[in-house]
Amino acid sequence: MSSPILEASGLRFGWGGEPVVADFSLVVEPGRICVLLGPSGCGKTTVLRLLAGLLVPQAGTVTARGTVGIAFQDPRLLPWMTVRQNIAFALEAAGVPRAERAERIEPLLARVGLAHAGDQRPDSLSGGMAQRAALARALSLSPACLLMDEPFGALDPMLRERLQEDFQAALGDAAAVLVTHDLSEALVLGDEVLVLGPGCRVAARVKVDVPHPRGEAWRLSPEFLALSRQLRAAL
Amino acid sequence: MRHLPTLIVAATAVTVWALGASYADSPILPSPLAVAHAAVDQLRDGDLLIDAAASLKRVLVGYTLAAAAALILGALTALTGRWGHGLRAVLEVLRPIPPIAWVPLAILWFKLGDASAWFIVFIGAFFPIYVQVAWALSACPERWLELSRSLGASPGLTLLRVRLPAAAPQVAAGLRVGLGLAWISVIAAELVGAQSGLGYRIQMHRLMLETEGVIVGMLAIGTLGFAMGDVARRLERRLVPWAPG
Repeated sequence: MSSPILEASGLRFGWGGEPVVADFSLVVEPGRICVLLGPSGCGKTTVLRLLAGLLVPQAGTVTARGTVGIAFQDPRLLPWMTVRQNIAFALEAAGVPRAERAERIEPLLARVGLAHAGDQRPDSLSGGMAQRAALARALSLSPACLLMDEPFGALDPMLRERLQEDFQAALGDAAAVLVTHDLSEALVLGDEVLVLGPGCRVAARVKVDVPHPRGEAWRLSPEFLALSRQLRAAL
Repeated sequence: MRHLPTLIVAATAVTVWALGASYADSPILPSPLAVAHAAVDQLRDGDLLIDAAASLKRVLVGYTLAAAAALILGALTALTGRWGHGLRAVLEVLRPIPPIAWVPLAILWFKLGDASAWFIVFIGAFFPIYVQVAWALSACPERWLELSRSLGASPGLTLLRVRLPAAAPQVAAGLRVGLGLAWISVIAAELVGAQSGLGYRIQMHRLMLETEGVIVGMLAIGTLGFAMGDVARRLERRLVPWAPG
């Protein structure tokens, strides 16, 4: 077994009173997608922020091997920048020289299907295009692990399914931790699904040993239905 | 056809004014036609334009100084923690004092003339710009700052690429409001402390009981103020296209 890309151990966090995250541990191996599945308000987003280093845990540790990128629930594109400039900002923040930025942006735009939209501002993008642009920005630093907080939650079901398929291709070799409350999304994208209960305690752990990309055929398979039942029971 | 309602409202106002003037039959309420004649005369002899240019020049100088000072002090207020709070506390005491209340002091300090008018314009324009800059820079939405942190951006890069552009719509609104108040302030300053300009012109016509001249001066102030506001709004839309609304 290869050494993990991201490892969290005994994470605890709260704002007084009952902790939002009581005891959370996670191991993400290279190239694997780990899905955190749980009902709204169970603390999934807080866990993701702890993993990203945006919150400091009151107990426990997070160890990352390589760059960790994050894509938020909303695309969070800076409205005063074009799509290309939004991605360039991420590269600039990482200290990538100006000359190198353009070379890295164009393939990324093509990878997420936005080669034609680099000069558009966020307010002229559809919801799906904005999510693709946010994904391109998150992938621009070639993260070893990408953290994603319900990135397709606000999209209509058809578009969501298409983006899920595109996401599997765009992710490449990177590992990912994806937060969702959509059971179907968890089984389409996840190699491992952690069902979270109150306090973000892991209530169940389900392995999905099916190669990517997973599409319509997987959604209609008996194995998918069986795993769905298993997850629903755990939820 | 788009401007038809405006034309109808304007025509109605002029008609009411004409009827009122006809009914009053008094030199203190001249008819629109008498005012139009006076306006043509004043435009023809060039005095109106000379005074308008004098007022505009004072606005330009006082407003530029006010905008520069407000941008610097507003940024310091927002970005320097406790020192910023101290600065804000002092300025908040001065802010409610209307520009006209500064006129006696301005005349004592700078004598009658351009400098005292610049000072009054400065006071009038400074505070709305300062308040907007200080507020906008300190109230950058957390979602943008969190994004910047998640990308590992330095505080300097965050200021340049996130805080300043995020604040720009409010700053632009402050600059526009400041311009309007600069214009109001220059007229107030000229009414009592200048020897040229539209405010001074109105005062002279009042002393000579030339009500037509007073109204022409007032309409010139309104027209120029409207034009400046319109230009400011157009510039705002062009320079800060991401501003809401």
